[in-house]
Amino acid sequence: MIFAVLTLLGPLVAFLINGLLGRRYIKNAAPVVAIAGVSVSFVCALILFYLVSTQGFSVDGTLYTWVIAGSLQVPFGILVDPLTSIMLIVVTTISLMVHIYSIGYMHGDKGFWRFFTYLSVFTLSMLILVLGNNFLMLFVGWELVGLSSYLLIGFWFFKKSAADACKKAFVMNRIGDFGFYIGLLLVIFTFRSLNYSDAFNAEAIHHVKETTYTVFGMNFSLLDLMTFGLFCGAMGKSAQFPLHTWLPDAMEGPTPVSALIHAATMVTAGVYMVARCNALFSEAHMTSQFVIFAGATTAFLGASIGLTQYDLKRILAYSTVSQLGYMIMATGVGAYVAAIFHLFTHAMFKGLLFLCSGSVMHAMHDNLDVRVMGGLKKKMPITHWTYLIGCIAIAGIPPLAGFWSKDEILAMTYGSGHTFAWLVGTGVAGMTAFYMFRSYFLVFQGTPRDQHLHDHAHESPIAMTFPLVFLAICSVLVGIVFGYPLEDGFIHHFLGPVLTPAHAHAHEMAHSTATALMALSIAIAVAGISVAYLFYVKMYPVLPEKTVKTFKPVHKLLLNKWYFDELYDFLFVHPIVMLSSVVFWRAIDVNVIDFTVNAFGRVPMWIGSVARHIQTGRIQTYIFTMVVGVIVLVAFFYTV
Amino acid sequence: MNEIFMNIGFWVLGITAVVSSLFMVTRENPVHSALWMLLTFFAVAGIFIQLDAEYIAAIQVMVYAGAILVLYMFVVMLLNPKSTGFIKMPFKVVLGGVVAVVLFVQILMTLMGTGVIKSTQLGNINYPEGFTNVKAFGTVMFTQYIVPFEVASVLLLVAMIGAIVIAKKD
Amino acid sequence: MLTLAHYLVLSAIIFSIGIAGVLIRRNLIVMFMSLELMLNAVNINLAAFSNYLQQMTGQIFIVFVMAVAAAEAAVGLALIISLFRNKQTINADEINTMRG
Repeated sequence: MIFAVLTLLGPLVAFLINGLLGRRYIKNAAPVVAIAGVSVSFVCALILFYLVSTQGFSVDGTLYTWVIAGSLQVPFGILVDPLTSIMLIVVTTISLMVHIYSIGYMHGDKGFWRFFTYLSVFTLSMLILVLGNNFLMLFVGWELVGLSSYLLIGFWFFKKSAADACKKAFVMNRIGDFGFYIGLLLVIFTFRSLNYSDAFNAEAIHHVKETTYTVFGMNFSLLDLMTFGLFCGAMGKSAQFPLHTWLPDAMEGPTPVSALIHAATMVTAGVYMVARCNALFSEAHMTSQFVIFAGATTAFLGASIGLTQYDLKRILAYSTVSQLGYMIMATGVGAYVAAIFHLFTHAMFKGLLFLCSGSVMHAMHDNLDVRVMGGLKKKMPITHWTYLIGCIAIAGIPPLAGFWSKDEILAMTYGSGHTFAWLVGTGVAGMTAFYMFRSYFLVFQGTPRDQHLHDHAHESPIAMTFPLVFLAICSVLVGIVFGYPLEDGFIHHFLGPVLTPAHAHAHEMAHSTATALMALSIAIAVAGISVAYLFYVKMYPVLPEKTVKTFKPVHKLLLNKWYFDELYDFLFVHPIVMLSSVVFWRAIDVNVIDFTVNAFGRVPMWIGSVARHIQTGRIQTYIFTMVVGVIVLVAFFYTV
Repeated sequence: MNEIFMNIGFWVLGITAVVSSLFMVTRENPVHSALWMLLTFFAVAGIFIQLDAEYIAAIQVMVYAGAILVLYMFVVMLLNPKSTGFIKMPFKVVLGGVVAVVLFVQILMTLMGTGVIKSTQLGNINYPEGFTNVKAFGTVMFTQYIVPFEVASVLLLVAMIGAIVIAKKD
Repeated sequence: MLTLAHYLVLSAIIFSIGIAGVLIRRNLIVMFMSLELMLNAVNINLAAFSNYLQQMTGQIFIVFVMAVAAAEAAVGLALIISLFRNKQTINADEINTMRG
């Protein structure tokens, strides 16, 4: 318990110190405070992980009772179990690395202290999210990470694009959070409690399993409605179709933020939530189908858009969207362990890739267009090698991290009988390999396409390269250490007990099938890489141009991100703006509300202009009035 | 015999107090007003003695006549205001007088209503054996009313500091 | 024969004179003096009741009233001095900056 509390206290104290004293006193020493805070969390997370993994240690305790409303009691409680401890490791590791990286990346920025304050807030919020033992704390953490994400995307708020992006992220998340809120209300309504231990109680779930409600003329089971609401929140936070459009725009924030929030930790909150609620989701069959659909669609959309983008960070962003789709798909088919495992490995290599892109950006004077890069291999050796490792890891080449988790998701999807989803997933794996290596070849291989930029390119300082190397090592190792042998590795024994719903029946697969699937996914990955090599090294730029010409409409569609933004503009933004400007502003606001408000001002002014004559300003008038008042009162008491 | 003296004393002192306070209110010159107020204070001190409140009479003379009145005299002399007298509208002067009279009548009616008017003769306060007025007063003041006493001292301190702060040149 | 009523009526008379003084005088210092007069009237009341009830409490309260009167006189006169310094007048009817 003490370690769990310390984990929270570290960033909290750092946030308070930096937030209150940063502007005046701490200034450029802000990273010291912030890193000290997150280091405390990191060490505590390691200790907790050690305790949980070796001694089966677990905590489900209450610090104090937070909300008491009739029979509903919500504690400020802490839950530490294998799932939590894995999440703690992910959050604190990436957070620590990003803190260190930011020293170099944000050096010289005017808002240096502010940046580290926000980072501390974010770390704190994420820790609250994963450490809570009830839905309300999850929700609080959920909203807090949304807030810190908003603050950090809009960190350079003087840029219009950044200000717009942070608003967009916030609004899109609100839509999802609305569903999440309804889900929470249904949880309270059903279980009369928000504690995980009450809601995930097999007996309680059994009681409500058969309950159905009619919504819009269709029958839904209560669990389906509840989990669908919760999943709406996950769709917003984890950027699932159709709420995925905010994530690529969020790349307007500083790159360390993209790595920390929009790749490794916050966006995985949705996956964590679904995994945490596995007891509910595994009973909600209709929602599960929707989850698989959303996950597969998102994976495909993200990957397809990623194929054509030219902005390095956007490529990574769409890759993140796509990988999140994988995780969500895995939760849909019931492979919760695989989902969390992929979350874990993805955090490592996607964090790495983003930090690499930041390093490239640094060298390229904040230029992100891959078309002007090229040949950076020699100039930035460390960035080059670590980026390559990240690409191999995400492409799914053994023995690097991505292979183990991704292959497992695909195998589980196939094994559970969702063949179509498996097909999509496998195709996406090939696309992933292709576009990741496309970016790699364009940035690091070949000849420089902008000699001037190339001449000024340089390797980044040690504060930035150290996290790269550390995360690269993680990307190489975590998969094989945690995931070997396949489906029977450390992580499966570790997470198995908390993430396997009571009734779940393992999808047994023949050994030969598993081997064949594995071989297939390796082959697909290799094929993707080879095609990328052919396109962007051997026959560049002839072949890509030719392909673009041949598939012009498709290319245009993908380049414009399937026109989702335009569609939403047309469907929602435009009508609302019209409605607001014509009806609400010109008619109601001006004529009704303004009139009423002005009346509230004018009536007192009129009364005052009459009544002011009473106020002579002379003491004697007042005393006289007072004495007359006394006389009247005394007279009044006589008559009564 | 004693009672006759008491009666004479009361009437003399009472009439002095009323007349001198009337003069105090009606004199144009503030210095004269202050002097008439001094006489009122002395008369009231005499009434206190009649009521067996010797200690109060003593501090009435010392605090009111000695300290407060001197303070007023100082201020009057210091400022030496040119215009004095009554407010400029005679109608309001009359109105003020009428209001005061009405209030007086109301007080009298209240007294009638409560029946105190028929109360018995006032005598001397019966002190316990060996107690005088000052001793009895002190006993109550420093046992039962010790906390209010301390509060009053704080009030005086605050007033003193406040007066200094307000009156000093900026 | 002196009864409680004698003293109460005397006190009422002095009190009313005090009220009249406050209402009709334009000099702030004299208004303050009238206030002291009213407090004195109250003191007579307290002393009379102290005698009537054979208790010392009334006299104790006179002392408190005197303390308050002293404090009021000190602060009030300080205010008057400050006022005079700024406005060159202590006439109540000329000080009307708060007029509506």
